[in-house]
Amino acid sequence: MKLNTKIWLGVIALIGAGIALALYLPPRTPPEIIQARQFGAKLAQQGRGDIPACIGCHGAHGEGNATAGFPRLAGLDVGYLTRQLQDFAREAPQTGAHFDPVSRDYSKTPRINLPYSILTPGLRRDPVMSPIAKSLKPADIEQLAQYFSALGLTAKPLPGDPETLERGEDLALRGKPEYGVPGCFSCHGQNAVGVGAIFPSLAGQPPQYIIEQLNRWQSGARDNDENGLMRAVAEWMTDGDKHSIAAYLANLSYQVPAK
Amino acid sequence: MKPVHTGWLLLLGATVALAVPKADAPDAYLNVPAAGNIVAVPVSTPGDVFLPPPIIDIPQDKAGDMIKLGRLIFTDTPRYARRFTGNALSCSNCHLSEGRKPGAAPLWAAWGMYPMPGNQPGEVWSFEARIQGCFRYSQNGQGPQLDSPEMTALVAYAQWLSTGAPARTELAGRGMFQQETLAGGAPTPASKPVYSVSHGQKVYQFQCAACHGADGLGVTRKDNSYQFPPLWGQASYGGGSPLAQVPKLALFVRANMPLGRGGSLSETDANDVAAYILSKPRPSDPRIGWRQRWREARK
Repeated sequence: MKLNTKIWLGVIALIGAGIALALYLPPRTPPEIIQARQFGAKLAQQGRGDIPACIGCHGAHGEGNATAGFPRLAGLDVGYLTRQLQDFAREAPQTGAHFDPVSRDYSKTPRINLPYSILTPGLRRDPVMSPIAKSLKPADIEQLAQYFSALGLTAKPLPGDPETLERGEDLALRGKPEYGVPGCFSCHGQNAVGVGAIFPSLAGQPPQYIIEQLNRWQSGARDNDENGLMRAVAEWMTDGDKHSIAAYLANLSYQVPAK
Repeated sequence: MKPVHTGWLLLLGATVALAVPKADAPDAYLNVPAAGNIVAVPVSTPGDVFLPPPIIDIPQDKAGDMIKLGRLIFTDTPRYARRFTGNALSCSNCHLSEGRKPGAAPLWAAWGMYPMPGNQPGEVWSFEARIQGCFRYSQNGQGPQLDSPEMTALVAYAQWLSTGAPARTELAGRGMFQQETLAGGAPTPASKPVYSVSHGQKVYQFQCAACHGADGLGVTRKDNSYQFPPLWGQASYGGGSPLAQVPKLALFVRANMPLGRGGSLSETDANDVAAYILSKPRPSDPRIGWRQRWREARK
């Protein structure tokens, strides 16, 4: 009886220790993701055929190029990077009437009877990036996204004009409520660290890149936002607002650990 | 005079050279280019809505500290007023842009209207009582005592936000926007409003789920605070909140949601999505006991 009790107590203690250890240890990265990162690293560093190496413009560690305005990719969300590459590669949808060469029976085709089906997948046109993205295979896009999202980044804040930074902070926290514009942090996360695949991290991006993208939201050259949210915000931003918010976001101290 | 040994001079020079930090090359300065003007944006709306003062105008004294504390409580209530809250919501989840946005019950429009007559004859609502009601019904907690620092800070913040606003005047943007000011005009008078919860569910999936989540339980940050507030469930507001009524929630949704695209939903969409959100479980009204709820359920 006594021995049995001791054995059972030991078994329970072992199980408890195992559960505690499993909760304490970080979750294991699946081997296929590790392999995808390795393939992505090879493509990003060496390029292939007519695909140039990503690190040529985006920096050896995906930190971006502040002088030329190339964005940082390190530590961005996998889903966000994947979607951007897909949208770079996408062509504008065909407009006008479409006639089948052979008439088909569409009565069995499942239909989406929703008024929202008029929404098209977004486009993101760029003279440099679109041709590159078109020559990427779907597996390449997945592997590159896995590679760059696993990279770590430590942003280096630069000193700037205090009045510009104060105005930038005002925009980031409160937006322009008199125009119904929310602050950046209300969607992009506290200190713009990014929220999920929809709202990317803005901290540590080059100011040139932020301003250029805001200009493209306004002109319509970029329209791959969820639900038209960013377009609605961008069309209320003046040049001064773009300048202030770009300076403030580039001035944030930001660190994301390597995975 | 005894001549000083050259070695001492050298030692002194070396000490000074080591102690005084070497002047570095000037740090790189943030170089932000000018943006090309793509879209002309109106720079001011004179006389349209009241503009509260900017944050940098908070006075640098003890009263200013109280205003800053009030702003912190307002924007992160579960952290700075922990002992009075019962759920995960902050004041600024509904009073958007830190209580500044017209059409989202801005503080600068409410401050001058209190004390105001209440529902019962002879009843008068003070601003403090209204704040207590917010804590009790919308945050499922306890109303802060009148002499608590939290109450003082919130009142100070509301008063500072309405610096220069006329008192006892109905300001534009007070409360939620009225239907008449939105596109589509006044609602058609119906004998009994009919809401379609199933259509509201579709509207929710397309317009709201990207931020608030398909399950409506919000999105949390790494420190378990909420980035996007929960719309139903135990962490959301209770049944006694004003936004637990379909017409008021529909007005709020129509004026402010999706965030940044306020006024884009139609009246039907807003009504239906409000009915869908309120068809989900949420904490009960603390004024209604289990006996009354039982009696209503048996009806």
